[in-house]
Amino acid sequence: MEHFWDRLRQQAAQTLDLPGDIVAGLPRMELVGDREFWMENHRGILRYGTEEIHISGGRMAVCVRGSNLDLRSMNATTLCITGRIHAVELG
Amino acid sequence: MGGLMRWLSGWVRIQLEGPYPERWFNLFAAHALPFWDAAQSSGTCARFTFSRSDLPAARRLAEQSGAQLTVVEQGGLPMLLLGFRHRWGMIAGAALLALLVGVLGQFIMVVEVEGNQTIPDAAVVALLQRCGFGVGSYGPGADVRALSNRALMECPELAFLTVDIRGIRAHVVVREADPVPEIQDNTTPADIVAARDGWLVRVDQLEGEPQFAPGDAVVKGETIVSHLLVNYRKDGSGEVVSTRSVRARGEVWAMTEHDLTAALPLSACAPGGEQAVGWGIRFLGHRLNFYGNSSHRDRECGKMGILTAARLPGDTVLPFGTWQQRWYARADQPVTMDPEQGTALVKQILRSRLEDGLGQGRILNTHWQAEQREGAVMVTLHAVCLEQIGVSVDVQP
Repeated sequence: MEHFWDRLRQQAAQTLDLPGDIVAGLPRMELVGDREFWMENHRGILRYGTEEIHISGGRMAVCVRGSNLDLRSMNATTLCITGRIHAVELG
Repeated sequence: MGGLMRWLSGWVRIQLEGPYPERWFNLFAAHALPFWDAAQSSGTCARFTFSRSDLPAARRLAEQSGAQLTVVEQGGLPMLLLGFRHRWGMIAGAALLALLVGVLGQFIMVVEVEGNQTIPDAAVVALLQRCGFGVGSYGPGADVRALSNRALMECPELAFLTVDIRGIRAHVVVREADPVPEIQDNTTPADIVAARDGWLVRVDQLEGEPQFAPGDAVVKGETIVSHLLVNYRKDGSGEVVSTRSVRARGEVWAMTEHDLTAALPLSACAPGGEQAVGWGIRFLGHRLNFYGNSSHRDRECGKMGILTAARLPGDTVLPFGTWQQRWYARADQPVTMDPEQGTALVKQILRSRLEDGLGQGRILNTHWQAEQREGAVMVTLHAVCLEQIGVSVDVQP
């Protein structure tokens, strides 16, 4: 049932041309160069390491690869990862 | 800035052990516990750094999640201060220092004087001290307006005085009054008479009738420039037409002779040697002696006190220093002097005395005569000088 409402909110956001991160609660990611990665509406850390950090984005998982990765700040909705970022993968 | 705030509030680094370390990230984030420098060292172990105030909450969450929490490291200002908690002497010293700075900061330590041109700084400071204000005075209790008024009343040479108190410094700004011009009396008739015997070299009269010419000899008290101006008939009969009294003005330069004699005993009695020394401290105008009751020594001995004040690098005198009291025996001890040294000393004194009396004049020639007589050296100076000998003397009506 929850999955149905998520799909519905996502469709409504697309149809009405509304920002999905606000209406559907989709994760919003921002990469500042290759040194800083910001993510809003995350659902928590799945795996943590200096080479690879996996973050839950609800229906997707985000994998940040790099070197010397560090979770600089984190709260219930937003997190910031710093270090040398090589790749951001959605899975 | 964030690092500074973390250091000020104190930080603590903890290690959590338990399955699935990633869940602690989410747990702390969900409970709004800010952390930094997170590291996962193994599959069951992670380290976090928290603010010191968040440690109880982190400990509670760790217990709820079944993790074992260990404090690895602590730091920041609170830990630095806690390190001094057993050093009571240092804490007491710091508290005493803070107290001294707080209390002594209310008292005047330095008095600076500005704006004076002819009146010395020390005279202004002494004036303020007579008015009850100086080094050691309580700054906030000073009534600057009353002080200024009283000081101006006591010192007519000052036209303006104000005191600006800034912490321990009192900045005194003064303006000197314009000197009252000397009122020259041009109405009372006066002669110029000779102040001493001599041969006239030059007579520069601005007003009056000269009675002598250069080359003449005058004795003390003779009128050189008369106040009486006489008009004669122009036909050469010598008949006086009219007379007029004026105030004679001018300078009379003459060669004069001076004979000065002085004697100096070659043996004398001086106070005895140093008997005792006592020490004390002087602080904010008060003296604390460490040598106890000295009344019996004061009766038996002569004494002398030496104050050595502390100074700042800018030569500013501080209101504290050491006090040294020295007692000397009253019994005199004989002291002898070398005749040549005594002669030189007397010559120096005589020459200085002669030069002081000449004013703008100068010594033209000197002749010295020295002899020893009855245990003393006697020196006679015979000098020829060029000096101004005219003095104004009012004519009595």
